[in-house]
Amino acid sequence: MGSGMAEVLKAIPPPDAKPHVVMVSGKGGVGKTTVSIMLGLVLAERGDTLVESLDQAKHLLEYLSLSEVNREFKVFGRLSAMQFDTGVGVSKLGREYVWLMQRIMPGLKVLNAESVLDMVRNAPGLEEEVYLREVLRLYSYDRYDYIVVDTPPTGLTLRILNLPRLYKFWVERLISLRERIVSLRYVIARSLGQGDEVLDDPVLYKLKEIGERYAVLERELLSPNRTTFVLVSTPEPLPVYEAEKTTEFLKSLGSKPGIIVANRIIPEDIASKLGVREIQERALSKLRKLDCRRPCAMVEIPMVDSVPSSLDSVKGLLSKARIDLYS
Amino acid sequence: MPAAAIKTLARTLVEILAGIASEALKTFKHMMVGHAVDSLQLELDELENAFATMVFGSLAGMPLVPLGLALELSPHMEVELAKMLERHAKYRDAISEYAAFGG
Repeated sequence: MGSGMAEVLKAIPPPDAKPHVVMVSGKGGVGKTTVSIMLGLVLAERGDTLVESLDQAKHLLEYLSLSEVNREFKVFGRLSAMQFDTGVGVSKLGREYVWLMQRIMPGLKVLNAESVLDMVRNAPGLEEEVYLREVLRLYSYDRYDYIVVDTPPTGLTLRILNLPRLYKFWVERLISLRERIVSLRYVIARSLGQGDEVLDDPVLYKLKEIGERYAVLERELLSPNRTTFVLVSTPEPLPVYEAEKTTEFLKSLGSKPGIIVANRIIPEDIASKLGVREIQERALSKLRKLDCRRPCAMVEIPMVDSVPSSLDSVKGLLSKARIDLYS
Repeated sequence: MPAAAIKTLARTLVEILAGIASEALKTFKHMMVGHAVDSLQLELDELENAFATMVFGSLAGMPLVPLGLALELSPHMEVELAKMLERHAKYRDAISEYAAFGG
């Protein structure tokens, strides 16, 4: 067992292509933001690093005293941070749609453009779409060597990770249908003695472009050289259960976590007094057995007197973390 | 031919012609009603199909396209989108009414 968070770098390969994305995931309240900042501090020793929080609880703003969302701030040395806010992206997408509807139906302008916008803003799936676009943007954001993503709670994160696969499924089927439409248009045009301009179908081009984009994203998400998944859990049954479920999900996608973090471990003597020692031991044992890619880092962070809530308090945790590397 | 016979013949001819005209009108009426019903039936079939697709589409292996994908394709499908909306308007705007309940 090594001491100090810097050891964890051994489980994160040097960036194959910029940036290497580190996805920090876990149940709400287990300390994802704290761990993201810790990893950010360590990675900033190796290269330019951005910690970006997609979690709408927005703890990062408070932690690092960031004055606004959707803007990068230099935090410390080569470390920058940004809190992503979905509201702006959701409104932008909604406005694009309403603008198009208004072009097609001018009456909408005087009728209910605002209520249509409101409906689109709240439509199921739009928020995930905005998250996905941000993840796409991050993978091509080569200003940084490393980007640490503090993800939303597990359920939403898993849906976002599943989206590229879902998009690929849809795009493939839509392409096949569209190709039939285009060939039918071509046959009709030729029969009427018209030219073959109908073969230039912008929808088909767009579909192929979208399909390629999500195929690339899926490959990048699953490539150990581009992505490292970090699972954070406290040594309690429910967060550990979620970590197990996330590991299973990653496996179904063809990936594995590279770092497991057990956060807020209560010292044994206190755990005994509180009567939670056995529960904690069982939880830790389960976390250590999670199917992890090699080399895998098991990070154990002890419970501290006060809840970390600033950059300095997170820095203080770095030397307290203990690392076990499996190769 | 005596005048009375001619009168009877003429009356019979008129009756026959009136019968034919009446039958023709009945047939024409029947055809018109049939045509109108056919149009209504077509409209009804389309509406039932649209309704069933909206309600059961996902159960029949037609899950909804992700909203983001639809939004990204929409600028390239302006003509098709306009046609679709026109078609829905023709069918008494049922789909638009359905889609506008939240608006």
